[in-house]
Amino acid sequence: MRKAEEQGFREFAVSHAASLRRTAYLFCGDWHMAEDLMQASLLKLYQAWHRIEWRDNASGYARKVLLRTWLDEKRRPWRRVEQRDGEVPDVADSAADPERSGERLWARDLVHAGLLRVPPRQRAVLVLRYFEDLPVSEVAVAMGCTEGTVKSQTARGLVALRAAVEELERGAVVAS
Amino acid sequence: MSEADLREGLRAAIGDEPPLNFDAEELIQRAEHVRKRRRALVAVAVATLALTGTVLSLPGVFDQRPGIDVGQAPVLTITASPSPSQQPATMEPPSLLKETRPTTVPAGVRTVLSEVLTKQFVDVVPGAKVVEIDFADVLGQDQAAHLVAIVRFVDGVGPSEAVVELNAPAQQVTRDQFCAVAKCDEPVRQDDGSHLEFATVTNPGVAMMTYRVAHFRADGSVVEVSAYNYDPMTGVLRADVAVTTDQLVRLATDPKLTMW
Repeated sequence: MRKAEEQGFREFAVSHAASLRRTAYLFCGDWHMAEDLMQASLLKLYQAWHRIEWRDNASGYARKVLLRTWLDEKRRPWRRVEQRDGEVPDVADSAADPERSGERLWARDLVHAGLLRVPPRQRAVLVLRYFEDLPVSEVAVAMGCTEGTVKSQTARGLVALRAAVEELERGAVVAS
Repeated sequence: MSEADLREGLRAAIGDEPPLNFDAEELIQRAEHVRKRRRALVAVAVATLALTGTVLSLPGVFDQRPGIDVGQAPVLTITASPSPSQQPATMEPPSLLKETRPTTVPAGVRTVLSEVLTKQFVDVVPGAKVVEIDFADVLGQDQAAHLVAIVRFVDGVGPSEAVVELNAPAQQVTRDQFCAVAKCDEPVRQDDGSHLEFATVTNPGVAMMTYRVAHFRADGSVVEVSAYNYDPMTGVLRADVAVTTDQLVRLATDPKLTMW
């Protein structure tokens, strides 16, 4: 790779690493795996960086690579049966902060927990549309499907998410 | 839950984001390493393919000699020994190269014999299941006058084989030839003028044993049937010979076992 291209990739990677990791976290629900997904996606992106046809929309291409990487990873058998029993990362628990509003706690816990119960492709559509705020056309490009499919997947995803959140709320009420 | 709630929930979900320790230089080094390794793999694969293709194509390039049709080539044959009645002065030197093709058994004969053997063997040896019937091509033998059929079967003990040899009258098989490698019992004469010979083949110090029965028929043909107390293919021993002497007699005297 030429120096100029490498410099361009370096700047892109530095500026997009955090956002890619956040998106990956909303996909998979685990920061460590999100970091792996982000690194793997950037590695793939580096291999294709010399192709200039998509350079104008590198962010969209990176999202597409990230989504494919995550879906491929989910299909692997050891991911399906993985049981995590390692140490919990030493990160401040914002839920323990009394200053936090109850609304935000509800949103973080329930929405994200419910999102992880939504089927993968519907989850991806919800993240891209409501977290990345992408238009339907760009989501369709990232998903590799038609805009109509994006709309239907969005509708189904929202129904599934609401059902999951309601189920979690009922469980919380019963537990309390 | 509204879409606004969903948006807010998603933004709040990443509120506990851990610090990012991202090193772009390290990532680029890893990417270069991956790229070099992939290129090396591709190069090795291409070299292997090229080498394989060269090895496979070279014989075709250098071997430009005309093909030899083995079937049309002269066949090395040895003529039979002259009988004692012939005078030495009239003997001709044996011709080593004979410009005739060997006679072979038509495929139809083998098919018929296979069907007959399959049916007769199961009738004679109850509980046995014929797995395969193979015909051995004995080098230097006129196949139209000497045919060897190998019956591979499985019974309650395990797999084994029986060998059926059909000798035409022209073969002039004698008792001495049959008993040359085995211990023969007294022949048993039959009403039709034929007689049966029984032989047991054993080897000192080896538990393997073979029963052989030969039916010297009135027309001069000889049918020999052999059975073993082991599996000739694997050498696995069994308690007794797989086919009894009476069963061998029934097979050897079966009039359907003929090809002339």
